[in-house]
Amino acid sequence: MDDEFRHESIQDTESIRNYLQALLDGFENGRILFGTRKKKLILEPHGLLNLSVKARRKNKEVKVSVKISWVEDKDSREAGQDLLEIKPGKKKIK
Amino acid sequence: MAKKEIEKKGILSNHGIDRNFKTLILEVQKQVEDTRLVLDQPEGKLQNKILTRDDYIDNLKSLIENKCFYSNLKANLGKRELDLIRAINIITANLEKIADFSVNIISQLQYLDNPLFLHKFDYKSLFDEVTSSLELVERSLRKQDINQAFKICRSEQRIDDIFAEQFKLIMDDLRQGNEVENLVTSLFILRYLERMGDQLLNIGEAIIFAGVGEKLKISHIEALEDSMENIDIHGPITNLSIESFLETKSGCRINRIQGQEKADQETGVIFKEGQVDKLEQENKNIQLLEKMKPGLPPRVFGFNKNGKSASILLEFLNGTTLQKGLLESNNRFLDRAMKQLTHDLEDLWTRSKKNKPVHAHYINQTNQRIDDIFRAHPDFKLLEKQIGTHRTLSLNALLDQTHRIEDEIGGAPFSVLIHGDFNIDNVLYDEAEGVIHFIDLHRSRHQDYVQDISVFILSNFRLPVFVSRIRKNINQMALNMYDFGQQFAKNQKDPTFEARLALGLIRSFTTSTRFEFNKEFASTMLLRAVYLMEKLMGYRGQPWEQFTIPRDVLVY
Repeated sequence: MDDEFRHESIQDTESIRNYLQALLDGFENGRILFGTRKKKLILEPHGLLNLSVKARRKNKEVKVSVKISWVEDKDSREAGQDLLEIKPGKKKIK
Repeated sequence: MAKKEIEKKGILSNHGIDRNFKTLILEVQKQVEDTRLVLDQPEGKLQNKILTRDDYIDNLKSLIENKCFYSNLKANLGKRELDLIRAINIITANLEKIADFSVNIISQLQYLDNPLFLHKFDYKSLFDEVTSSLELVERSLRKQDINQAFKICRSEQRIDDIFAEQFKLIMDDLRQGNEVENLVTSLFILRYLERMGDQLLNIGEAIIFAGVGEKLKISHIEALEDSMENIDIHGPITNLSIESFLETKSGCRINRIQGQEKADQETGVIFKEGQVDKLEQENKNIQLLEKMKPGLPPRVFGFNKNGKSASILLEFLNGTTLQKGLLESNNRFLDRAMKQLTHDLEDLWTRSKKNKPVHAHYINQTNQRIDDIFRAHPDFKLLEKQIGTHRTLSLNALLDQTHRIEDEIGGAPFSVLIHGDFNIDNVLYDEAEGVIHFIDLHRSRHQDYVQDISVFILSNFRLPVFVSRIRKNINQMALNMYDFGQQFAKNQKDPTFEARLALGLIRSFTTSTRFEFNKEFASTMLLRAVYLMEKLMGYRGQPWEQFTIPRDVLVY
């Protein structure tokens, strides 16, 4: 079963901290909640995490993607793997 | 001379012109009606009657002409009375032409194998248009009713449309190769009816001339829709359709003006029809702006009320809208236009400044349109979300919070006369004369100048054009306006300019989405509004005088 959460926003280099910090705290505590009123997705990162960092500049569009993935304990979840991908909005370079 | 005096004084009745004129109209009406009857039922004696009446009409025309030209009537008359006489003369000549065409139609009948052949085509609608316009002539001239005169003018267009349809039918039949003579004769007959429409246009223009005292060329007839909201919107445009956009949007104006050689004394006019209260407001606003900054708004040639609807006759201003300048990448034009515009704004705002504080209620304005926004984009309600310990708000909750912040920030320390719908297509620059004009002034009033600035910036931003050469200019224009506003605020010692501009931008970003159906672009605008709201919320507790807007938010 797929559980998915998406959120898009525009931030600046200052306000983006709120999001990054919240995620960092989540990794530290071993529990991150992604939710709306209707639906909650709780992830519990532990053990080994795959981390891939990609940066790219094409014309004037710049993209940094950080992908963190892991496989959950088969006991605690039904099956499959959850993927968390953090993609900051496109930021222009002046 | 006031309109009604013409009637009272009866300059014309003294010489019997009015009686002759009324008779002429009646006779021409009868002539056209009888012609129709002959076409309906070709048997009968009406044809002779029509030929006899034609002589009478010619005589009446000469009589009126003589009285207008050679009597001592003109000796002591002012310009308005002379204009009226001139108009009567023009109308008379055109009425007589219509009567002539009636005779021409009758004389064509003999070339039809079967006079009923014409019944294949819709000559009846053409007659309907002609007769209903003729009915308006006498009264609209007497009352100097521009509304009615325009009805007459517009019948020409409808007559042309009907004729075009019939023309096509005839051509289709001709290609079959049968009944060629009958078809050609039918075409002649319908063509005479079409030409009656041309005479009616001349008549309508003559009545307007008598009413406003200037020779006007009708450039643009605009019907205001009930919802004034829709006026600044010209339907969704995409990147791919700039060409057609340019053509359709300004085409009607340009065609009419450039299509005909302009006579020296002719001024183009725009005719707007709509609800009384809205047009009345526009009329008042124009007078007020004209006082503050002569030449900025269009001149008003006439204003007519007719029950719930009204019409206004406005000067057709020469010049190009800033929007058109942008889309055509006319850099020289844009530079000069912006220089002149900011100069004029500074002038207008300083002159019209009233020191009483004023509150634009940007968030209330947004809330009033929120249903329309959600109807266009249901997902813009934005669910409350949580990412770890970080929470984001729904759009309604964000607006609530921002509303409170707006109360903290307060209104503007003074008001100025704002445009009220300050889109880049409501600003014209006449490069030859070096002057700026404002159009569509129904929402102009004393308000926070920041409203005009934010609307102007957004009208740049939301142009769905992504060609980088054009986009660069669009962004530059938005930034120019921002810089000008900042400077103006500084000069006028307005400390909360930036914070209020953030509110104005939140309003304009959010409400602009309801007209943008390119999902990605609409989202970009909404997310900028959200960004600004979060920015304000994060700033709470600090002095609003020091709040600044990141310039990047103004450009795409």
